[in-house]
Amino acid sequence: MTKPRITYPGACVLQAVSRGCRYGFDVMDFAGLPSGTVYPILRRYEILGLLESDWEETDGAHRQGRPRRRYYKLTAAGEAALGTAAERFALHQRMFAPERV
Amino acid sequence: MAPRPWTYRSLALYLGVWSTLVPHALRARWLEEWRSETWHTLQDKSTFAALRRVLGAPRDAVWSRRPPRNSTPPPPGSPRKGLDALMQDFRYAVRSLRRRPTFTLTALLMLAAGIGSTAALFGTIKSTLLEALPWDDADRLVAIYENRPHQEGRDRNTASLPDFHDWATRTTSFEAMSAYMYTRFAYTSGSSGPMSLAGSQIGWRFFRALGMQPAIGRDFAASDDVPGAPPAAIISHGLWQELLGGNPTVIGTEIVLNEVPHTVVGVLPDMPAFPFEARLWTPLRLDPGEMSRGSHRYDVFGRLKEGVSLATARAELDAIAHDLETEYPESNEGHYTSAYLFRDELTLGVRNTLWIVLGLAGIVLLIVCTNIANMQLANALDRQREIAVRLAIGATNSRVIAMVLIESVVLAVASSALGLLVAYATIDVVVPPQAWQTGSTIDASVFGVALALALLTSVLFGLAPALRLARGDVFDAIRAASRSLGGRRAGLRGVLVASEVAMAVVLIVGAGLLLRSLLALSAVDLGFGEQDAIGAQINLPAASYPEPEHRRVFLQQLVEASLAIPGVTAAGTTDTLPFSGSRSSSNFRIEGREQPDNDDDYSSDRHIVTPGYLGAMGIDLQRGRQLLATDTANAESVVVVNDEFAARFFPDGDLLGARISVWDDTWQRIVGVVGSVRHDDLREGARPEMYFPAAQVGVRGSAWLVMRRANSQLDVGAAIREKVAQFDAGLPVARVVTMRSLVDRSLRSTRRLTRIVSAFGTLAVVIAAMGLYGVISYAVGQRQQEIGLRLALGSTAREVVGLVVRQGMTLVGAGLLVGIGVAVAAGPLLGDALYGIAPNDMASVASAAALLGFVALLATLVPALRAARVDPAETLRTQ
Repeated sequence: MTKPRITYPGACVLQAVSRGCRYGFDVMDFAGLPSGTVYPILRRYEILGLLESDWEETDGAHRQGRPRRRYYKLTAAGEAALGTAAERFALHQRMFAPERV
Repeated sequence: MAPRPWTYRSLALYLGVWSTLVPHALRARWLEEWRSETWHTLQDKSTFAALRRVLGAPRDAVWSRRPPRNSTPPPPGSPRKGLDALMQDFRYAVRSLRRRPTFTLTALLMLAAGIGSTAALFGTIKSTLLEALPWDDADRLVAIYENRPHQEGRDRNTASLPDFHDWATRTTSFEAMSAYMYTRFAYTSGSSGPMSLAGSQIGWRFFRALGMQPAIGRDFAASDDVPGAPPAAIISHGLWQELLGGNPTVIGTEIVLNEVPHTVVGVLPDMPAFPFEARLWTPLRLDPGEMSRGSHRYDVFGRLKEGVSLATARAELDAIAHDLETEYPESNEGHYTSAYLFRDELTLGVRNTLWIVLGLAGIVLLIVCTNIANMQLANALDRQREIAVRLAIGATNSRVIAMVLIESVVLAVASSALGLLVAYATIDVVVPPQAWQTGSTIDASVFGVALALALLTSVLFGLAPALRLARGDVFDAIRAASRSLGGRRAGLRGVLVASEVAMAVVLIVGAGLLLRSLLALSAVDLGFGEQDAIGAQINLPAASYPEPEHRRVFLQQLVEASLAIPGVTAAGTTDTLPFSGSRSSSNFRIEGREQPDNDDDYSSDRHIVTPGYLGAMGIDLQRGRQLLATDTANAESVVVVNDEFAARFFPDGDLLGARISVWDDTWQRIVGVVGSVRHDDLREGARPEMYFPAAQVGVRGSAWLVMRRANSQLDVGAAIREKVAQFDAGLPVARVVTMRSLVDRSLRSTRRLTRIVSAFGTLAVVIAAMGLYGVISYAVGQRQQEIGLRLALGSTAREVVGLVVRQGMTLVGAGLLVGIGVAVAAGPLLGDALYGIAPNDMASVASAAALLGFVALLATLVPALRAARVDPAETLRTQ
């Protein structure tokens, strides 16, 4: 597989996930990007192996009377890609608030 | 707090529409993620935030079709290039539609209205008429009736218990059969005072026959259903939750019904049971051998054995009824059975309405399609030059066709999404959801139908112009675009408009007929003053009121107490209130006449009333006297009959003073004749009626107290409940209703149908007028030079207006002629829905034609007046 080229919005999305945004809409809020941009990036990066996603346990969610959510997290390749992107978009890191706990 | 269901469902539907673009393998997950995130946004943030977020769904759906750009390059010949081209066309189509907002918006709205209403109808019909009832193998359930000869034409009558018992023991076609009777129970175990609960007294096989069993506890057994068995009850899931706190140890507890302790033996599962409004079931505990074959009070249904057809069962029931006729000639002569599938019985009231309305929705959709075809045709002509240029600079025919087609597809998908919202908003308008339906009636199949309709309609009409354009010679097309309209195409558009007018006429005629039926029904003389009469239903339990005399005394006291309520001017009780669904009839003899061959020949509705009842209802006295307080048990037995009774059984009019007998050894003297009362159905004519004084014949436990109030603003509900509680704190008032509301309820389905047809009719007229306006405007535009020339050569403005209007009205005239023909031919389809008016009523047809003609004239006049303002000098200059 060729080395993925990370776009600016892509870097924002990786950044958001690395800082603890786990759902699509959460990433949107954090990165300030519309859903029509965020979701295709999430899907593409998942296929490329930069992100992986997991579905919440059905039982747990249903007990709370809500539908289950899909979580995203960075893979090792994603961390690496984020590192490369951070070098490329130097100002990028500073734009975001301090890391979420 | 969970998000508001309507908002969430609308957005979920919207996402569902877009998910069709997502590859099949990913679709379910895609949809789940979007819906889940939307749900959470609605919960945590605002509706607006959710709306803003789902805007990205289409883009995500489209993206999910493409392989990621950075992955391994696609092998040669892969469909990527095609997909890119498709995306390009898609973007172009959206842009092109946005450039023509009037066309796009009009087409969208019209398609959405047409598709939405048809899809809603489809959903309703599917869930109401086609889907199975909620019980196991419910298509084997059959309702069985016992009918007597005098019940002319009505073959859905209740059975006597011994007859039912004989059917059940002799049949070989049915797996199980059960009798049941609607009833109300006075429930006094709760902390919140006495309550009146709907329920049913049933045979012990009832739930087995129905195909459902208690979720907790046990079903009734044969030993529960014999005289003297300990009283047992099965309760609904809802009642268990509401009144017994969902307590799992409820089995074996006692609840007091009609003042008798009953042991709860079972709780039904959380699903619709039968009768739908019932919350409690108790065994009948009667011995069929002890019951009279003349007392027809029980509904019956059965479950067919596997593989037995309804026809076989009917034949068998007929044979049994025939045997019973020979065995019990006195009671059963002429009695016959009828049997219908349970589902058909439950949907009896709505089936015709649904099919009629589906037909109407189809017509509206056809009008919409016609109009869109018309618009597309005009559109295509306008775009000829653009397309010709594309072809000239090297676009292939297929690309041009694809371009126009994709535009139609975009229009189709968008309008079906809108149409689904229309469907969602209107689905319960036509027929309210039936009691056995739990989920939404909009499901994937409705969505599929909406999308299929949208694609079919808009692609069909998008394709024709596209093919024509792509086929033609490029230079021809360019030349053609700069010339005026070809006659053949104008002719095609004219035919389309004329057919729109024709279809609109059909709808308007239908709406007019229904409206006049509704007016006729509303004007039917009820025979009583419904405006200020109020009924309160009370069921006196046999435990506290065992004897008729107890019940009579109680009711007498209640009548006196209600007369003390300020504003109540008259009061009385009856056992059968008009329009409340209660009715009794009896056979009788007439003194000095031969007993008729068949008992049932002398049969009449009967009411047991207290003296104030006729006055409280406002029933007119025509001859003789009213029932009086002096008609006591010790006085001579009397009866008051209605004019229909007099006309039917005493055609000579000498009935005052004659005596009749209903009960074996007593004779009642006819002392008065009152007007006839409509009892259940406004369409049904008057029936013979007898009014017996309660003091002389005994009062049943189920009674209606009727009060006449001084003015219709007066609310006596609370006052009467208070009075009842003063006499008997454990006695609930089942319901308090105005007679007006009971009568209105019987008109509900006609009123609903009228409203729907009128709405469709209006829509049809508006769309047809729009189509006409479009065609005439276009024609005027094309003929501008000609008109300018005419004006320059001395034509007056009036002549020009005449010219244009004539052109338009020729189309309208042709449409009207065809439409009137179809309307007259199709009128009988409305059949039962009409009352007091012939289905081919010429006045309705003429007024519909006049209305349409007038609207059409307006639609033509606007472009005609514009034509007359053409400046000849200007026109000639551009020439």
